[in-house]
Amino acid sequence: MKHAHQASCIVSLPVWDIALMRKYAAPGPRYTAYPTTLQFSEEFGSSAWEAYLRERPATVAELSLDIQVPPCPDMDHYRGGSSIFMQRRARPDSYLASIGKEMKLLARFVDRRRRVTQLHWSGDIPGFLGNAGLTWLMHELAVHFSLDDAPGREYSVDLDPRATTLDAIALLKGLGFNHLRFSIGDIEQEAKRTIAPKQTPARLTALMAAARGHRVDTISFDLAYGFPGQDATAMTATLREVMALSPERITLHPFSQPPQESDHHDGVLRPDKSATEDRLILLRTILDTLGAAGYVYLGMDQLVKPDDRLAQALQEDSLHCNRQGYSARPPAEILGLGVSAISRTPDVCCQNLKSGNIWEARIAAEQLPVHRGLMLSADDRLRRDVITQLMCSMGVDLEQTAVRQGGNIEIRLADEFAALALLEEDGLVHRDGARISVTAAGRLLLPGICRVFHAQRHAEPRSLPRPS
Amino acid sequence: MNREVAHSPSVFHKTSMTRCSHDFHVNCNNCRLSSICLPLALDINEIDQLDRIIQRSRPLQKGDHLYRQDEEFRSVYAVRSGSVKGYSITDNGQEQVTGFYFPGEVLGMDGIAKNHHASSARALETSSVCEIPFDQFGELSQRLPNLQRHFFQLMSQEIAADQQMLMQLSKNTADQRVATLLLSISARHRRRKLSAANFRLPMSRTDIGNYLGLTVETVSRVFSRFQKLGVLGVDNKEIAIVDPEGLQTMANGTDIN
Repeated sequence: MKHAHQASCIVSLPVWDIALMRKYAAPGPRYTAYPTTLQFSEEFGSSAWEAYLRERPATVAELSLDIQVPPCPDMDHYRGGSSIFMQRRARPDSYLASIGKEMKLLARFVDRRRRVTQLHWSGDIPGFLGNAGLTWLMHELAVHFSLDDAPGREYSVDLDPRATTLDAIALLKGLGFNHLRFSIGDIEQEAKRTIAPKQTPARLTALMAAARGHRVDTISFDLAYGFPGQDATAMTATLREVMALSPERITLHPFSQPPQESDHHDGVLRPDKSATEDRLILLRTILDTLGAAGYVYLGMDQLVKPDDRLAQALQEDSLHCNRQGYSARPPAEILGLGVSAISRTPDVCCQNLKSGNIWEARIAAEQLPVHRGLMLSADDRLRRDVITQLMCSMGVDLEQTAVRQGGNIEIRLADEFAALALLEEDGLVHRDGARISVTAAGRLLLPGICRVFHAQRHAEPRSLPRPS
Repeated sequence: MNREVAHSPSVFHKTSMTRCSHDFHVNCNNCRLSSICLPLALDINEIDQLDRIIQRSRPLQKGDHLYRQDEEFRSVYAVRSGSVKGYSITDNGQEQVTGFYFPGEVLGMDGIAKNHHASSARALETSSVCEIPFDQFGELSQRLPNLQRHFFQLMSQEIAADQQMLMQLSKNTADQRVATLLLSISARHRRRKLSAANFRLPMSRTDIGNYLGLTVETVSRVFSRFQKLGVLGVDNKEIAIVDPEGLQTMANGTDIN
């Protein structure tokens, strides 16, 4: 399969090639962040994390905070995540007390001059804590960290529309959030389904009107697709509702039955394989329909309206990535708080304990509740650099990468570049001197391209067809 | 002990209030606002503990500041008598009125999510307030989880209500904005078991205009029109809502004819 190279593929429309999709669109990490949590080791725990924070050079750089609560089981289905959290709907009050204490433990290592320019609340915190609880949580954050109120901040919160009230929207705006993310299921069929009978288009419409009325900057939909029995016709009906609500951003999530074993984080998705062909048909329907409505495809299953900041950033090659997907803000160090939250600094990645009870116990023992982590090697940094470029710039600048990372990267990653040559034959990437560009066909398969640079010494996600 | 909170009898409707209540000896237990203020969910013993941290300062004179924009957030305040105006100074140095607070209402929550105040608060008339110091409150809350939940519930209601009000005002016509504000003040009087129909506006027309995003001339014109339509009685700062349904219709944006 040879494909004509498009000179400015970064701004071109992605091109659908069913043969390539079948070959490369396998389930696996999305590479919104690298290394993935699967590469973390339990050898790196609380004491290693605390020692790192204590001993590293002082910094006053901007900061990103990720707050995690045990996710809502239903919402988890949409995200294709794990079901093991289902039993862990902790009591909100005890959760609040523990996370407050975790903030105190972490804040010891954080200079008060560091402005929190990005804040993300995962897992429908408002639905879990209620209005009083979320106000308390925001207050506790403000006590321990320097929250930002500049217009350019990115303060976002995941919401399950079935559990969200109009008052909560007003409150979130009042507390400083400027980005709401609604998890959207199969709107058309939901009334009939047991999994999510409460969400109706009318409810969503009211919530959207409130969010618009309160002048929330950005509204995103996390749109799940591929529900059992959802065909292209049903998908089109759901899309019609979605387009009528006109969110600025849409991220697609293949629905999956709760898997046996999975990693909830970093967008690791493992849909069951039998439905792959059906899912490709749905994906095609979604991309065609939203494309016709003017949405711009960024990558990583994320689409935005043409006047969204991210569409502009795509044109200007200034997209950045974080765990929530693309961002217009340069990446800041991420510190995670809460059950299974992930922290990422330039040198270290780690993840909190996943069991609510153990997480609480560790905090009660005055320790940061880290479960596993990784001190990044030179090899990890190089791979992260290449993968981040592929995700955000849709290409790799070999010379600049060599300057940053040292040495000839084609020698350091010889096997990977050999594998990449096969992808070039298939037309996913194009090589032009020291620049590797993702082609229009490759735009839809960024994770498949990034996978080439995923370190082999770590357990790679199973059942992935190696590029051949 | 006779404690009345509103101390400016209406010329329209003389009430039974006898004296102004800048009473420093009141505690939460016998405060007449207790049903709408903090201690709702507390038992007597808990109220005593709360009472011990609450500070009742000297009365504020008209124009005195309770707190100023950008000051560190240390306390929230409950108005006991009088009224207080919230305002911020915009980037181009203009005053922007952000709210009016009446007895039983809590202010200062704008500092909760930032740890510094986003606005200033100034007494519109002689007023008294309870100050609830937040650091001590946090300690107390650990012993009284009820108090914490109730307090943050109250805070979240206030923050949401402020936002709802801002939203309503931003998208409405001048008539709707004025009607919405009057209905809001009326409802707040009713909540305090005072007359919802007859009350005195403690703020100037300029402040009302600033808050509603209208010129002072427009505010006066709307008041006159409402009076002519038989919806309101207006005598300078004294307001009588003659036709509550008519006013509601005005707020909803439908002309009454």
